[in-house]
Amino acid sequence: MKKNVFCGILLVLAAVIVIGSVTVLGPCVHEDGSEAPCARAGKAVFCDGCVLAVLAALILLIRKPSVRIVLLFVTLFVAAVGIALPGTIFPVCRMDTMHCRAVMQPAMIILFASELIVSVCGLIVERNRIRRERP
Amino acid sequence: MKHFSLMIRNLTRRPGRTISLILLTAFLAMSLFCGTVVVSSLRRGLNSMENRLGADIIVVPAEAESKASMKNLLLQGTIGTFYMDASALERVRETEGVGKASAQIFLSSMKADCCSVKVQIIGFDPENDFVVQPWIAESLNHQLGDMEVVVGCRVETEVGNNFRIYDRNCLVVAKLASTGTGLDTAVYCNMNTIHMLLQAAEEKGISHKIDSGNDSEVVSAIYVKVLPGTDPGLVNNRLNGHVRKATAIRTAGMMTEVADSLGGVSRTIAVLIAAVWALSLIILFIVFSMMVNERRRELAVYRLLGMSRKMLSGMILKETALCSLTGALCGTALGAILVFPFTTLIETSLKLPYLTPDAGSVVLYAGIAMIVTVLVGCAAGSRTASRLSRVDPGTTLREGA
Repeated sequence: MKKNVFCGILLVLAAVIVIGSVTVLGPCVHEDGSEAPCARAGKAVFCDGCVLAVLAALILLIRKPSVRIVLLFVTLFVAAVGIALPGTIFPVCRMDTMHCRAVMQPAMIILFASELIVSVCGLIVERNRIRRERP
Repeated sequence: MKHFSLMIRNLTRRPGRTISLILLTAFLAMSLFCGTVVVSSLRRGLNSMENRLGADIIVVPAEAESKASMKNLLLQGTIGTFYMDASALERVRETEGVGKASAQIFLSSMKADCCSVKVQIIGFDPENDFVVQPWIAESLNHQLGDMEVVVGCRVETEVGNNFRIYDRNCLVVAKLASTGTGLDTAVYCNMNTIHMLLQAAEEKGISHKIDSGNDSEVVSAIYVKVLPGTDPGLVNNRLNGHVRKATAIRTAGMMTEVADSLGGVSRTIAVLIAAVWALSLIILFIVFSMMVNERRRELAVYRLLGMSRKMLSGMILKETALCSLTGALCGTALGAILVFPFTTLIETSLKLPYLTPDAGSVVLYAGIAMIVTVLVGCAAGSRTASRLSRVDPGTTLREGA
């Protein structure tokens, strides 16, 4: 039950990242249709969110503890990369009043950080379970 | 230690009840902390705006739609590019009751020059200025030279960098402290620089619709400080009559409007906090009342095992305090996560000056929110504690059998 709770939270957070990155938590949109400097950061966040969603779904489906641990480690790494995506790896707009700086960047950092914390908790629970099951 | 482990076991044995208590108290702490930080930030923003404005009257061209344009420019950094003949400055200075008068010229950058948004460029005369200069002097210890700029704290560039405006490179010599107003997104330069930039803009085909055709003979706004002991309202009326094609606006009126809006927002936040607290307190009392019936038999056993009434009520109170403290810590942390990263969003949504309190004040507000939440949690639990400690073990256990 407990292991599925963490996977469920990971999946929900990933879904929020994916949907958010193309809606309210997305990059700036120029009225003239031109690409904003933060557009690539938005696309990267979307891709990272998709990867996290797939990983969370796999963790939910796979029952073998060792594989789940590996997948949780990968989730942790992908979430850590996600934190650095807007602003560090990909540039965002230079004025902090812009939508990408005021909304996308902080929201994504919080969401990816939550994903990271939940995956760490999931890892601890999974390891304890393996220890308990060991003869 | 023995009691503490018993307390922890009591709480973990019923995770649903414990989590709901923690969530409720977290909600209380979060609403109190967030509300206090937002209201305090708005008050700081208003004070900062009052300090920075420095002028009693602002004279702008009639087409600038006076108050609305100036208020938007000051609060939200809305781009204002309006011009009037520079002779207006002399006429303002000649007006009876005017102590100091200083002109400014506004220009907006192109989108592509920086950051995908336009920034307001403000040209001022360092010799006569009394509005921007004292504020700039805090960050810059020499006179602002030609093609040198001072940027607001929200313009993403660093001191020593070149800032490109209309294909002209300007050297950033200082970055100003935060004011919580729209002026944080502005770029400041002297009159020579702004004239060069106006010319560069014209060369790029951007017309500023200057009537005289000569951009060295225009100003956008004139800031006026009245003589001590003079009624600013009277001077304002004189300026409106004396300076043609211009409107004089009293800054006090603008500040009153901002203060009124701030009062409205503060009241709304206070009502919302009160509603959240009332609702949470009602739920808290219901949860504790339900707990009385649920734990009657359990506590009767404790009494039979030799626990005194005082020890029993103490244990229940400690359980409540522990839940409340955990909830208060979680709520305050969650509130901080919600308020601080989204400062800009809150500011732009409220359209009011917003200046986040310093770290010391934030720690103080967090402490107050946590203490109040724990006290309220304990007060709600004390009635239950006293009722449960008066349980007659014999009767209770016979009833349940």
